[in-house]
Amino acid sequence: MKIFSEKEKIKTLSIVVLFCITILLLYFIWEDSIFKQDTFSLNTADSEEKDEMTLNTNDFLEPFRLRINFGGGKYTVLYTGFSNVWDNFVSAYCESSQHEVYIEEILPSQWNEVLNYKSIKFDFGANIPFNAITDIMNANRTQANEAIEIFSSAAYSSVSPGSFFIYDDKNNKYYQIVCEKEYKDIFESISEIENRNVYDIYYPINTFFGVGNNNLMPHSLKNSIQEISGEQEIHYYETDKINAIAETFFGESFDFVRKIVETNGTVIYMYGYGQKMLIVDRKGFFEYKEEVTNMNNSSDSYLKSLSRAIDFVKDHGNWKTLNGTNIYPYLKNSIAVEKNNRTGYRFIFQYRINGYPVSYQGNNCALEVEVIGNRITYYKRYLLNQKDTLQYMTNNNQDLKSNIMSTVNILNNSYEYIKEAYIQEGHDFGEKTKIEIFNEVVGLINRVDVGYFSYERKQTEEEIQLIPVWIFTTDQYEFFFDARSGNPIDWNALR
Amino acid sequence: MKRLITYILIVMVLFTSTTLMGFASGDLENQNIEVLEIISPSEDVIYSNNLLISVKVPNEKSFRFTLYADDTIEGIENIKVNTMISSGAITVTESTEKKELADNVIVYGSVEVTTTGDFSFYTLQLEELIPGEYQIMIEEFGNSNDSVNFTILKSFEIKDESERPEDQPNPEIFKDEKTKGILENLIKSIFGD
Repeated sequence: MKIFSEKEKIKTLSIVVLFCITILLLYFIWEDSIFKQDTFSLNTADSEEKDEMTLNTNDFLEPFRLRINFGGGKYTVLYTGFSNVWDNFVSAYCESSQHEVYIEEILPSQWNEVLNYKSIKFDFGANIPFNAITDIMNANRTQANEAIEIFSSAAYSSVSPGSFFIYDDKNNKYYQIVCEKEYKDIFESISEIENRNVYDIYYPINTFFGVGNNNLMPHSLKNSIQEISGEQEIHYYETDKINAIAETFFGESFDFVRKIVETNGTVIYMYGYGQKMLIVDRKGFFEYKEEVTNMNNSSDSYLKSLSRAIDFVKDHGNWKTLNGTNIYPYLKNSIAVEKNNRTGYRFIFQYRINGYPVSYQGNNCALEVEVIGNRITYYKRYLLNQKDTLQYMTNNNQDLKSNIMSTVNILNNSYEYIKEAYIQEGHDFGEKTKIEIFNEVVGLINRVDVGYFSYERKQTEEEIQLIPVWIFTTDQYEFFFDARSGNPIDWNALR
Repeated sequence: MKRLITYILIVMVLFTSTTLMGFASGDLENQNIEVLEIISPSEDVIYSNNLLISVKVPNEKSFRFTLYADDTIEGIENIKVNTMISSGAITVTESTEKKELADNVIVYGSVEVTTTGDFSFYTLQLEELIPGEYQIMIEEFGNSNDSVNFTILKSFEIKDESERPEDQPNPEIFKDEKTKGILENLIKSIFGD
């Protein structure tokens, strides 16, 4: 007996085929079609719970600075060479997330008290979501993920070895995550650093000046820092090179792109009526802009957006200078943006030379990428091809002095430069004496770093100098001083 | 007449005493402003082999700075001293005269420091200190560098880090009426107080 007639079989087969076609068509509608997609492609898988990323924690979502209190009044700050400490912290946090934890908000004074004991504190770029960091760690989500928005700093202290401490800079809140276990092994990794004894010693600012400020500052540096010469990544007369870069932005539509060369040498590529534009500036940076349209999908997660940004840079210049020098980038800031009712993120990346961050005059940055939905809508690249071979200048000879001026010399001579900047921005110091103003200025300092600084490039300047600088960061600004002469150079509002 | 003279004398005495008190307090205030102050070290015993010395210098001053170690300490030649350089308001030069101190040897100095302006800070950083007794001597010069107006002598002891008493955490550190649990707040917002 025939169960199904031939007609029924054909009908069943047709329904199955139609069902499969429907699924396939839906897939193509949700993803970009081959004609809209740029030449690069992003492979980012989504899971129900959280994004499975190809990012490595060490790539971009890792701390750029580590503050260590060894105990006994000995402190240091490191910019590199502490991946072991971070790995131990991550392991400990992940392990703790598998057990019951509870979270409490604590006071700034309690946070400061915690750091007065043997402790470590990691600093991250601004506005990185707490969930993004813990997801990258592969930690389970806990009550902390519901309570904490931004992961600005993380600390671990001997005063409470069963706790992790988190600071949310955006909301100015401090948290204690209490777990059942203690993870004192974290301190073994800083003992290794202490035993190496090649770090610069820092002191609380109140030790120098007798003002109430426990933030750290070194007296001087053991090693000298060399000035570095460099040149623009790209020159306006390198036509073939510029065209090759431009092709990577426009892909198959490059044939329909207009090219405009301005009298000063800047080259502009424009698609359509400006829907996509690439500017290769005579000063050596290039800037890509794309209009936000209805073609942009609704917002992706932070991690997915960051992955798109990272892949975009990789395909458009790469994470090295164009002459192949490693730049060791890190994420300095993530800014939530909204355009044409579409949301996304603008990622600001900074890079390092020999561990020291490179800053630019005029609050420019090395790399900036904006992601709206599933599209890159802005990309700026402003790197330097290094000409000098980098030498790590160590002063093994006790008599050989570092070329870097003491921070105390700088503050003695130039605290009024900081004062004037605050006055310019509307701050009123009142009828205070000079020493009272000095105390107030010094009390504003949150961080003291050493780094490199690049002046804004002049039109005709070919060779560029990166000079070593002291960077004093207050609650609102960062101030740059030539680390060798002590002369004030520039200041920026914090971005 | 006698009464009149008595009243006049009382008024004169009162006037003179208040005037003298005014001058005296003024002098004290001036002295407080002009005194050199050692900001660091603030403790007498330091459990570390590194130390920051910081001297607050009000107004324009000239002084001689010398650091001594007890003459029983061995190996002081290995102590590293990082100093500030002459710059802006502060000038540091090697002193022609080395001030000796009984039972002590000079670790650093003597140097002569001259400051201009309303204030400055003179600092130096010491590393690889050996346990023992040390002294800081600051001789403030008068009108010429040959006359010493004022001498500060600060003693401190360096002990090995291993001898440092274990940090005793403040048990009250997280007990604060203002500290609130997030869940506690959430529950209160739902159910009220």
